[in-house]
Amino acid sequence: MATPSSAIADDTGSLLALTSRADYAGRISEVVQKIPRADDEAEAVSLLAEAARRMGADVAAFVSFVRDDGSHESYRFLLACDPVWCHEYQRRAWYAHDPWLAYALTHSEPARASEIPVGSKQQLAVAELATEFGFRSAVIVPAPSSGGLTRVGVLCLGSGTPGFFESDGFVALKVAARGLAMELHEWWIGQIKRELIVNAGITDDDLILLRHERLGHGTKMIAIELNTTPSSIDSRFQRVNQKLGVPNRKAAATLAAEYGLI
Amino acid sequence: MLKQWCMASGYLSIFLMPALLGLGAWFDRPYLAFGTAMLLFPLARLIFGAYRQADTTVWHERAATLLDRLPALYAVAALGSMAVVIVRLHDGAAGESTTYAVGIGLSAWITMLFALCPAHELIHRREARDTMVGSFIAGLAGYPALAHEHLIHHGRFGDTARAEWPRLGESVWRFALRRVRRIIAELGAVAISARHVGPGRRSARNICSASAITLTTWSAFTVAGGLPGFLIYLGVVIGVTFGFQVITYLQHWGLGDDNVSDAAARQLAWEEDCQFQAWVTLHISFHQAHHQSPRVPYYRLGMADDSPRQPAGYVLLMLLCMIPGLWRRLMLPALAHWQQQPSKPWSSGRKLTCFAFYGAEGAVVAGPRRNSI
Repeated sequence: MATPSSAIADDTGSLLALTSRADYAGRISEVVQKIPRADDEAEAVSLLAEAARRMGADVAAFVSFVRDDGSHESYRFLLACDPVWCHEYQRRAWYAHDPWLAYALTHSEPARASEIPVGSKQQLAVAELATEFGFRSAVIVPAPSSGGLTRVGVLCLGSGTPGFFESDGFVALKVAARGLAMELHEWWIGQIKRELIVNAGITDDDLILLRHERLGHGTKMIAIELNTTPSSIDSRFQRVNQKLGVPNRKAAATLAAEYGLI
Repeated sequence: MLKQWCMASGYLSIFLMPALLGLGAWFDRPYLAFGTAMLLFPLARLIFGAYRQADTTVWHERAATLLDRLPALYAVAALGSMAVVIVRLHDGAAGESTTYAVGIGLSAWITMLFALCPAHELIHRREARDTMVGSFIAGLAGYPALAHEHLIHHGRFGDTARAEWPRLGESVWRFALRRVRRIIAELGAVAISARHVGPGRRSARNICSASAITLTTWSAFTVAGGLPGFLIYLGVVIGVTFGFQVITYLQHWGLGDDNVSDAAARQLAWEEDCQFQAWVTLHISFHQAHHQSPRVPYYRLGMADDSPRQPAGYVLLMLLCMIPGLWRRLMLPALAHWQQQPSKPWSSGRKLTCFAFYGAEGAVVAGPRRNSI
């Protein structure tokens, strides 16, 4: 899944030289446009690696997670870097101390890692681990969600050259990186939605039912609309609740809305 | 619908321990809760039998909603029972009789150890309100670190180096010591997280609140009962902390990365199919299934098809594991049986002792019957 950092970077020189090229944005956009059509994680990772390479980064990682997820179950990674980094990170359960994730929770603007304050010893350790794995200079690009979604995405671009992203040319990179981060974020949300539908066995009929619930319709009204009996509607809701692992239709509709199913 | 309400009523057994603690404290029967759990719970299989996978119910919404709220309602019962103990300590019951003090200490310990089951259920929920109530119960039980260490435990599958899973040759004593040391070392960082905006802030704040609840309860015990009150709650804190590590040991022994090559990917755990134990622990005894689907609420959680099965319930195994030689003699054949035939788990059966006896080759030689799944 990982692409070694040395393999990613083939564009040499400074960030300014790279971003000054006339085709800089176009070459990145060419890759970013393919992301929505990526069939699986492997394909998404290779597109991330290619886009990062064209931006001038040696390594890249994208993480998607739900706000306030103390269990860390919601964390999903796309790694165009040494996977040992992520493995170590997960083993040490460093999510709570990650200054980059903390930054992404409260900001929407991309920032260089050097601009993000590192407050505690634990945060420093997280940053040092990233440095060890090729993020000597890094850019953090938040990908916030709107509406009822609580999932947040964070793109991390890294360079083995100290101070690489601190040089001129950052503004052009920022614009391109935002597009990449948002496309990857959308892709993950779509992927998770598909996984939920497949794993839980949610059907189109179930989604219709959940949409009615979200609109505040009662059992009788839904039964009339769907030309069936109220007891049948109750039974169908019981099965949907079972599939989603929630106690009642209200919780089912809330969960479905949070995952963007309805 | 009536059948569903009858089935759901089994879960009301979670209120048994706080009720017994409160009644025992009030009517000068301090050993009531402790004695019931130790002597009667292991025999409950005789009456209620084994859980059958086919029992996984498509709950009616009203029943499911009530079951969903049950762990939060438990907080009131736990608080009430501890309040009764504090009132009795204030009356001087513990100061006048050492027997009362020891008995009520043991009863409070076992009740609070069981209280970690509803607390555990709640800390896995999505809703902030539920995780807060779960942390409150954990704090009352004297184990405020629950929300922190348990959720991390779910992220470090099979990790024996960090004492998430015990090593095969490790005694429960050594494992508990190693694990408690690690948890204490990590708690300092949690307190820092509570002050910074970040992904772990909410859970860090819950742990700080739970610690405040523990200290408040301890103060209440001390003010009401003087030195005996202070010592009783100290015993509860130490006992619950140790007890929780013991349960972790029972659930994961022999299934860590030192013994199973793909332990990090499989989230292995021992399971036990006693119906009563499933009710009173809110399906924690279906532990492998819980690890594989931690968000699934207890009333929708069945057993994993290929999990290793414990030869007895938690209460008996808790006592047995204290003697490492006896533990290994009982569990090594059970482990061997599962390693040879992971798809053919064995239930400990509806026997008086709740024990399954495994032969040297891992084959069951007496006691159990095949699980129905």
